[in-house]
Amino acid sequence: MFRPRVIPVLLLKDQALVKSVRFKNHKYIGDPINAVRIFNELKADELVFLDIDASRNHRLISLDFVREVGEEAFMPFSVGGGVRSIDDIQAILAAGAEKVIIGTQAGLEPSFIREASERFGSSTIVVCIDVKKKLFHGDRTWVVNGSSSTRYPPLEFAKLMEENGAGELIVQSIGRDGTMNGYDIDLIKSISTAVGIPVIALGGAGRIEHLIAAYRDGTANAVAAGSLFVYQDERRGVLINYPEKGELVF
Amino acid sequence: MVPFLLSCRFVLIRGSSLSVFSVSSVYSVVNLVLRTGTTNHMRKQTTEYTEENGKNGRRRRELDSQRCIIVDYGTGNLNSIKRTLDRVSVESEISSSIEDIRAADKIIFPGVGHFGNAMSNLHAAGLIDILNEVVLEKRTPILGICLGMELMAKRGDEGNVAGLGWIDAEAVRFDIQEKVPHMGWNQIAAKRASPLIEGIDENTEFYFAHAYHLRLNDPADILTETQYGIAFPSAIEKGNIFGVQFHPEKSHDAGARLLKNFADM
Repeated sequence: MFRPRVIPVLLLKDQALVKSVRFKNHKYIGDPINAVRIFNELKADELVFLDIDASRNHRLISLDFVREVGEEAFMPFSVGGGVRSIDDIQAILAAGAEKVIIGTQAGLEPSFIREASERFGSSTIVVCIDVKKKLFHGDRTWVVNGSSSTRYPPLEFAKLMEENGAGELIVQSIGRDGTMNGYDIDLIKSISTAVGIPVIALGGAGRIEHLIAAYRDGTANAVAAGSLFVYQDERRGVLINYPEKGELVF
Repeated sequence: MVPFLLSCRFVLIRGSSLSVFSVSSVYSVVNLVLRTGTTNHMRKQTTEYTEENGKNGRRRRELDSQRCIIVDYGTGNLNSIKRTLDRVSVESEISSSIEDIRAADKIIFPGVGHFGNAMSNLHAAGLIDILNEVVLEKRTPILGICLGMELMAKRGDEGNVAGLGWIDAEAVRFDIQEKVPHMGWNQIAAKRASPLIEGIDENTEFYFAHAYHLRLNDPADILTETQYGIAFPSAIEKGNIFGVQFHPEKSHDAGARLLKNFADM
């Protein structure tokens, strides 16, 4: 039987693993490769790596790092951070990632996703939609690690990305990031029910019940989290962890 | 006396783990020591067994060191396949050379991306003839992975082009209520026994990432099925031709086991 994936999202800043709250206040967590080894042992479904400084600094996530993860990971992993060209995608895939995550460039140039999916196949191209309220407007899609807004409401952007051939969407609530108070279920549901491609919920998970709610109530196809898998609990002591199969009854 | 005995038992057990016969002889040697109080016999026995196991070990390595070639035609994540083979001590090489493919004992045929583009790549790399030769004439065992399996079909919807035509099938897009691509972990159900899936439990999960699947015209070629909106073939077997729709190289221990099974055939 098919079941939703449970995906740890690991944020990189200066090659170190960090965790943010609402995209700010980055706390050092540890060495990312060590985390990969632990997630191997814990048999994680899939991993996501995002270099959160890459777009702002006009550079690509380190390919050496991607290679290193590729050497270690026994599960599929996706990589994002500063992906702006077909060559960038080619380089990341060649370095060993299964999928490439595109955020900023998708918001700035939506047709890039069409070019990318036609070239590499939809299953390889993931679009990350970072969502935050804009003053005097409703929810908007934000880019460059949440520092600048686009004109796209998230639902409209999600449909556009599907139309352009994206294989999967990560829907991330910036306001919930790191809060561990639960996902923005309404946001996830509004997108998941409107598109025919898988939607990964991200932003706000602090407990196993939140994961289950994102699947049952939010109709997400996969559930992702940062804090939940790098912190022991809401007091935020660092402990890489992953639920046992029996803990998760979707 | 006792610690020495224990240490000797340890050596023998480690050295004789390959056969039941040797285990019983552990006891006979220990009994002998207990009876005679001498260690000369035991040393002799230990040496003999070590030698024998050495021979076994060499024989095993010879079998393992068959040439397993991972075909490189500019698609897919080949290193992760090689790395998984490394983990289960299977020697492999990533290559796009006609000579390597001809000399291969086993061929792994990966693939990610677009059916039409992949076929163009194969043509451009000049690999179609040699693949037909080794698969259809020399009958080298070949394992297609994901798109690599789909390419074995007669035709692919994506790009609407002819495939390699080894399997009487078409690669068609999922036409289901569920989200497409089929992305994530799902179970396989065996339709029959095969060395490829030996030792893999019935409901083991594998990692899938695909929007197309094979529609086989001969159900006898289906090895396992998976449910996602419909039942589709997740593994196929026809003579020396094998294919899996999922990614064994990304499916933890079960995937590594499947690749090892293929290499050990």
